[in-house]
Amino acid sequence: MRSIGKIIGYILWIGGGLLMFVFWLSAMSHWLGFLGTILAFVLSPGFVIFPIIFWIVEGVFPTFYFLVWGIGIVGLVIAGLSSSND
Amino acid sequence: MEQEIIQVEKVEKKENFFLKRIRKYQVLTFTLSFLFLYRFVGTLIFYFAGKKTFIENYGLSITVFLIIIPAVYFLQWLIATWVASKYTQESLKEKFYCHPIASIILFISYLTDLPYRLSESDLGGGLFKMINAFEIIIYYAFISFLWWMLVCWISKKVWRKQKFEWSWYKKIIDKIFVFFPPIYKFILGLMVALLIFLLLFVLFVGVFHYSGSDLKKL
Repeated sequence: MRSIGKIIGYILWIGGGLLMFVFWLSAMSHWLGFLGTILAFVLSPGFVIFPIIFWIVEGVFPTFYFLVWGIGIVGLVIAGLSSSND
Repeated sequence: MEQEIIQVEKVEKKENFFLKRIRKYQVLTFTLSFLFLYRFVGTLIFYFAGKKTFIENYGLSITVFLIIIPAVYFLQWLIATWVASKYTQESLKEKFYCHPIASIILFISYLTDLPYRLSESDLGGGLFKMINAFEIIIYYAFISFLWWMLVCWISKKVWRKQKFEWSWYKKIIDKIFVFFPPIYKFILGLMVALLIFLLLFVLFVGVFHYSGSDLKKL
């Protein structure tokens, strides 16, 4: 049961992270083309300040980014709770 | 003091039959709870959203549905845990070793018949298709397992001694017993995770009136 909890948590967490990365990669390649794609991999720690940049550049709040971030955190909580019962 | 001990024992014994079973068969309980919640809550959402559900398809009223579905799933859980309580992992493995022909034939018939069972049902689309297919695969596997038990029982009565013993067969059974539980848990976990993902997404969309304007910019 705990193992299923961990699987669910990690899938949500990793899935959320992957979607965040896809969003970041799409934005970078949209702004800077091929260079942006490469930079997206190099500057992946820029994840944290990226929403602010996106908001300024595009003038739209990156709701999707925070949405998948939130889902990832939910996953992390589920995985953490499942692990803490070990 | 003795009375207290007896009382504690009684309480432990009474430690609810259901709780005991839930604790013992956690994966089974989780599977059926997930399928029940998916069917029950999903149908209610679709029903109140005015969409066509199987309630209309079978000409049921909502009250009947509210009683029948929990009762049916509860009964399924009782049957499934009762069958599971008949075997330990080792005794089940032994039974598979003892009846290679029956196991192989029933496994092949299960695999060959499964596509027809799936094609008979209206599976829907997307994630729902995956979960509906999973439900059919599980139920059909359980039914096949019951048939297998019956065939094994008959074969034990007819041929008292084991006639065939193949090392390759034993190896396959061993491998199945090693790999099947984690694979099953992963598939179940994946489906639950995807459903949670979908539900949270829908919830966020509803709460924040998200229209996807940020995605349109990309």
